[in-house]
Formats: sequence, C-alpha cells, structure tokens
Amino acid sequence: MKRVEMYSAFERVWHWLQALTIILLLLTGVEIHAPGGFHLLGFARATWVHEALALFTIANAFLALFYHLATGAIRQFFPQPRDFFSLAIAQITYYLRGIFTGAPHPFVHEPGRKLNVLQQVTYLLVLNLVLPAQVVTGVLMWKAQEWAPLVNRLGGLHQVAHVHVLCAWIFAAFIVMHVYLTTTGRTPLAHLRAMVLGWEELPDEKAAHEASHEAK
Amino acid sequence: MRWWLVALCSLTPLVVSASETEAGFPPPSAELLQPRPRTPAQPSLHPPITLRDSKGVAVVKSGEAASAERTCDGCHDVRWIEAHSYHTKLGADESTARGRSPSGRAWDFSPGLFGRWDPMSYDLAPMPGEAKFVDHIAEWEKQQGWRHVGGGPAAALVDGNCFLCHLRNADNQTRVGWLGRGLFAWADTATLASTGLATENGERWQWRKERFEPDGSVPAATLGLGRPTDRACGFCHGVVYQQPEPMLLATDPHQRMTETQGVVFSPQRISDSAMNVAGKDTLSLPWDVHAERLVSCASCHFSPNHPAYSYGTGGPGHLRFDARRVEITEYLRRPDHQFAKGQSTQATVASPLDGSMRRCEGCHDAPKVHLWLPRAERHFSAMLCESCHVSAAYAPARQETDWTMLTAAHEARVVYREIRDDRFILGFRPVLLPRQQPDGTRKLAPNNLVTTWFWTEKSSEGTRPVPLETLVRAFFTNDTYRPELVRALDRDNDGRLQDSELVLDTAVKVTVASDLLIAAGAQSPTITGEIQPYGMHHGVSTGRFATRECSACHTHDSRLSEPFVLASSVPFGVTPRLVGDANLVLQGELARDALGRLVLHPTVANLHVFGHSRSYAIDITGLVLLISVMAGAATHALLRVRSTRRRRKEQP
Repeated sequence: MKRVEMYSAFERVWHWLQALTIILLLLTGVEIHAPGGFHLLGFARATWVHEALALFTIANAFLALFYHLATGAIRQFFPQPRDFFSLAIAQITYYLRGIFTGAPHPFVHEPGRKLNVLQQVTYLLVLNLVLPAQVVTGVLMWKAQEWAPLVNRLGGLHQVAHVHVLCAWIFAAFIVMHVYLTTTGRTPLAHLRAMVLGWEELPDEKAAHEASHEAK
Repeated sequence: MRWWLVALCSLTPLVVSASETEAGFPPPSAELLQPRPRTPAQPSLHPPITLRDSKGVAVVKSGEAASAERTCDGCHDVRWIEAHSYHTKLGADESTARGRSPSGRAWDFSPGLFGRWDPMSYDLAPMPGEAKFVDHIAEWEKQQGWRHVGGGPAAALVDGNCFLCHLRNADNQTRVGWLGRGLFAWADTATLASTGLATENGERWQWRKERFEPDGSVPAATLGLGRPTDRACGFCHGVVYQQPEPMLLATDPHQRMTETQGVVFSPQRISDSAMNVAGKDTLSLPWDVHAERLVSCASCHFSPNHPAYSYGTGGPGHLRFDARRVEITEYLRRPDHQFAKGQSTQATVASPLDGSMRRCEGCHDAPKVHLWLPRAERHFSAMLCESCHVSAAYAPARQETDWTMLTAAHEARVVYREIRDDRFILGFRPVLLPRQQPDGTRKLAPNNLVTTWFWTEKSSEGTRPVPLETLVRAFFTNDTYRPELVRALDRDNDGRLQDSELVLDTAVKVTVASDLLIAAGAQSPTITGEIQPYGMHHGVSTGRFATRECSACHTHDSRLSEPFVLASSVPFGVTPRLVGDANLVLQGELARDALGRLVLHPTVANLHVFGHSRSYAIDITGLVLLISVMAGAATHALLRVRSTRRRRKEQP
C-alpha cells in the first residue's frame, strides 16, 4: 500500500463549500417550494438565502471550471471511447456482483485519474445538462420581471419553475447516490477520509494492475 | 337627535330586505339619517349669486322654483358641463340596441346606471324611443333619482342639480323626498333646505326674502359654495362619515360602495366606531387611511382639465411634462365633469375614461417603502396595491340577493357576508382574481362577488327579468303568501314562511313558484343566476394593517385558493355565471360545500406563485426518483454488509 495525496487543498475546500451550498440550496429550496410543510428560515429569509447561495454556487462553479481548465484536470471528466463499453460493463458488474463477493475494484483511482467511466458519464450529464438547466432556470426566475419576454418565450414562469424543481429533485437524488458511492472504496470511509484529509492509501501498482486486468 | 332610529336600524336582522316607506319611496340611507346641520357661515371666494328660476328670473322676484342650471349658467357653461358629465348621462349617451351592451344581458341597452339592469334595486330603465318613455322616465326618476344628479336622460323633467355637489350642506334627504313625490321642478330648491333661504309650503317652497341681500343675491358663504365635498360623493356612492361621534351603520342598499364592498370612507378608527365588529379592540385602523390623511374623493377622481390635478401629458411624445395648462378662468367656466375614473369591475360607464384616475402609484413611491419585500417589482406587476392594502372589509357587505322568492315586504332576500349568529361582523377577506388592465396585462385585484338569483321570462319585448309586480301578484294574495307556496316551502310546518325558508332549492318548489308566475302572466319563467364582482379599491389600510405575511399567499393552501362563498343556498338546477362586462377572470371551480353553499375555489393559473403553485406530476416524479435511489442505496448497502459478514465467517 502506498499513501498518496488524492485531493489538493483547493479541491477539498471547493468540494466542501460546494457540498454545503448545494445542501443549503436544497433545504431553502424546499422551504420556498413548500413553505407550509417545511420551516427553516421563514419564506422571505429563505428566498434571500437561496438567491445568495445560488450566486455563490455559480461563482464557485466558475472558479472550479477555471481550475480544471488551467491545470488540465478537466481531461479526467471525459470518458475515452477506447474500452468505454467494456469498462462500463465491468463497473456495473462489479456493483451488481463483485462488490458482494469481495472482488477487487475494476478501477483504481489515482491523483490524475479519479473517476471511473460511470462517474465520468454521470458528471458529464450533471455538469453539462442538469447544472446549466438549474442555473439558467434559477436566473430566469430571479429576473422574471426584467426578462419577462424571454421567460414567456420559454413557456412562462410556470414551465421555467417546473424545470428548476425537476432539476432540484435530480440533484437531491444525485447527492444521495454520490454519498453512498463514497462508501464503495477500499474501506467504507476511505474516500471520505481522502476528501477531508487529502491523503488516501492505494494498493501498489502491480497489485492494482493485476486487479484491473482481472476485472477486464 | 334620532339615535333611537339609528339604533333600531342596527337591531334589524342582517339578513334583511329593505322595506319601503309608506309612500313607496326608497328608504332613507344612513347618511340621510344624520341630523341636518343648519348653515354655518362658510368662507368662500365665490362671489354672491342670484338664484334664478327656469326662466332666468331671480326667484325672490318670481317666487318660483330655483333652477341650478339657470343660476350657474351666467358664469359657468352649464350646457357644456352637462354634455361632459357621465354623472348626468349615466350611460344614456352610450345606448345600444337591447342585448347589445357589454353586460351581455338581453334587456340591457347601456353600460351605465341608465340602461344597465341593477340587480340590487331590480330597476328596469325605460329605453329612449320606446313607447311611454316619458311616463316611464318620470317613474324611474321618482325611484332612482336618489342616485341621479339630474339632466341627461331625465333632462326634460329634472335639471342638472349643481347645488347637490357644490353646496357644503346640500340637503339630499329633502331633495330625494321631493323627487319621490314627483315634484321635480322643486328638487333644486329642496336641495337648499338647510340654507334657510326657503321653507316648505305644501307642494312648493316659499322664499324667505329677509335671508337675501337687498339686491336679491345670496352670499356664497350662506350657500356654502365650493368644490365638491366627500359628503356629496357619499350621497350616491357609499357611506362617507366625518362626524366625531362613534359611527353606527344600518345595512342600506342605497349606500352602494358600503353595501357591495363593506367599505366606508371615514377617518374614524374601526375600534372607535359603534359597530359590532368582532375583535374590534385590535382594529385601531381607520376605515380608510386616505380619509384619515385628508385625501378627498376629488383628489383621485379629479376633473381632467383641472389645472393642478390634470396629468399635463398628452402633448408631443417627447415631453415628459406639458407645462401648458388651462387658465383658471377657462377651467372655472368649463370644468370637465368627465371625472377621472378607475376601471373597477362594476364601473362600466364611460369606459374610454377607464384608468384615467390617479392611482396609488400616482402619489406613492411604492419601491421606497417596500424595501423589506422580496421581489417588490414582481409583486407590483402581478397584483394591485389593494390586494394587500384592502386586506379585509369590516362593514356589512352583501353576499347574495335572491329575487326568486320575495320576503313578506315584497323585497329580495339578502344575505350578508361573515355575520356571526350573534350579529357581530367578522369582516371578510376579498377574493383575489386577475383583472384586465388598460395595458392588456392582468393583475390580481381584490373583489367581493355578489350573486343574484332572479326569474326571467321571454316576453314580447325579449328576455327580461319578470317584473316585480308580476312576482308580487304571483306569490301573494291579500299581502300574504299564497297557500300553495306555504305548503311547498314551510319546512318547519309552523304555517308561516321565515326568510330562511324562502329558498327554491328543490324541483318541486321551483315548479310551484313557476306555475304561480305563469298564472300571474309570466311567460316561460326560468331562474337565472348571475355573479357581479365588485372591485375593492377603497377602505385602504396602511402598511401596518396590510397583508404582510408571505404565508398569506405563498403557501399551498393560501388565500389565493381560499374558498369564497358565493351563495348560502342555490335554486334547484341553476348555475350562476359572471356578468359579461366584468373585466376580470373568474378562475376556479364552482362547487357546493358540506353546508350546501355555493363556493368558488379560486386558482391563479396564469401566475406562478412560489410556495403556492406546483406541479404534482413533477413533485411525484422527483419524489419517486429520490426514494428509489435511497431505497436502492440502502438495499445495496444492506446486501454488502451481509455479504461481508458471510465472507468473514467463511474465512478460516
């Protein structure tokens, strides 16, 4: 086993800030959506906080985009066509069977290669479809008065709000899945610990390679 | 003092019908019951005037009835003024063929009081050009003159009465009395009763020459001449109360604004009034904040060419303000009496003037005082200020008028809103419905909805309400209910019909009443139901008492969808419909509640209100997705734990 720095300080701070703001966005969003059934800050305050958090999240997202572009880390988000299906099938097979039999993980993540193929596809959809839709509809709801013609062209505030709410539900489901999958590391808390401390213990290269080959 | 009379009126049941006086005149209104003040000398810049009769001769010489038109015409262009006044014409100048007016009623021929059927008074105005119009107009003026300043369609009978609005102490009570007696020529003189210039003498008035100046003129101060007062507006429009004594009101169909909207134009605080309002001690707000702050009716409903009040726009498009104004002398000669008006659902006359009045935003800089309100501009664009600032009404307001069965006094059965069994007024929250704005947009506006049930027949003149005389002839014999009616309607079998039993809510009852009407001469009588919205734009409260809680609207079961009672009972097989000229949308569903009442469940389908509007399909889809993911993760985790334990056991 070797101990490697999996996440830089910036990545960890960014991740936890984003996690916190998204959770708070969901909570305040629930209060705005159903104020009669959920009370946290009160409707007016929840609205203010939701808007402020949304702006913070957008700014944070752009910072992250800049970081990933500048460092080239964005490459690890794109699945490669080569072996895509076999890797995906291996990953699915692992989650459906191998994880229960103690089979080695088909994908060993490293500092420059943190996402398996299923994660890559998921992030690609979330970051390129759900997040933009959430941001755009949120901004349109925020500026519905000033940009009324645009909102009306998109079907009115009703339709815009419905897309926003649907995206929120998808984000909530994504977070549940995301948190659960963090427990599928070498130990249930290995990934979580890495995201907190930055360091993670990985099998040595040979063992990792054999495991990967066996999975294929 | 006639406090005993006022008190007696307050004790009358609030499910009442206004009884006619012995002479058959309209009953006196609460305003008319106020003690008549004798003329205090009022300062006035107006020069002394010479009261003249219809031939232009000074009345002190001729001894004849005064004519306001001829008296004022020397300096003011009265003909021009009358030609520019929807208060005199009452919509007669907008006449159409019957059935072609905006209301959609087959018998209406104008959008104004003269020609648009009034379901509260059951008044059918005669149509100009029809047979016996002259006879009918006299009868109409006797009955409806209380809300007509004269001139217009009745010009041949009654002069436009300048005195009524321009004398501080105009005696409307006496004027209405003389109109009711058909002594039209003396109506203007009767209006001067409180000045002491003339005294009643049988069917005419005797001028008191000692009250006139030697040259035959009268000082303006004696008359109290000046700009119209709020009191004058109240003669026809609703209760205007400016006395220091605690206010006490009786229900009164002549106080239209109060009767239909439950509002009073008074600076008095509700808690200081003598009204039986539940929880009154906490209502330390004035009946109308504008009355408290000395804003008068004319401040908003001004003369369009008033040099100070007119907008000063309408010139070249590049001018933000047109400094050129009518000279004061020209204005005083020809003050435009097409007063600026709003566009409330009930004010259908003179529609080209809709929205010409100075509304809230004409005086108030709302954004400055709504900094606390999230998305203030969004709120302003989606709803009228009144939606929050007329949050409730605390005077008795009508809920329904039922003419399908008459009370023992031959009047409609009337039900008022939110009156507790012990006669305490609970106050009611107006229903918020989208109103069509002059610019084509829609905004939520507060309304009272008054439902009317009545019989219509297909006569030779077309469809029309069954005349009141026919109803009386059908349902009564020797001033008592016909036995077959009593048999059909007497639920408690006490041999008498209470007001609460005057409901045709079964097919059998409808058939009995219909047969009686046919026997009395009605042709194919059927029951019609109609909903008349009354926009509530008076009775305004300050921010302290306005709706401020977000939860009032931004919850799923908020007031935006709060059920609004339309009628306590429904005639069998009848569904009411909205009058055709209401400029709002009756969004929602009509349904009967557990008590059998007809209730509107409003919706705000055209608006997305956060916290209130939602898509169940999306919420259910999202919830299923979330629960599925959670269940899948939990199941997967459980299986992992079990498999791990099993493997550990299997390992040596």
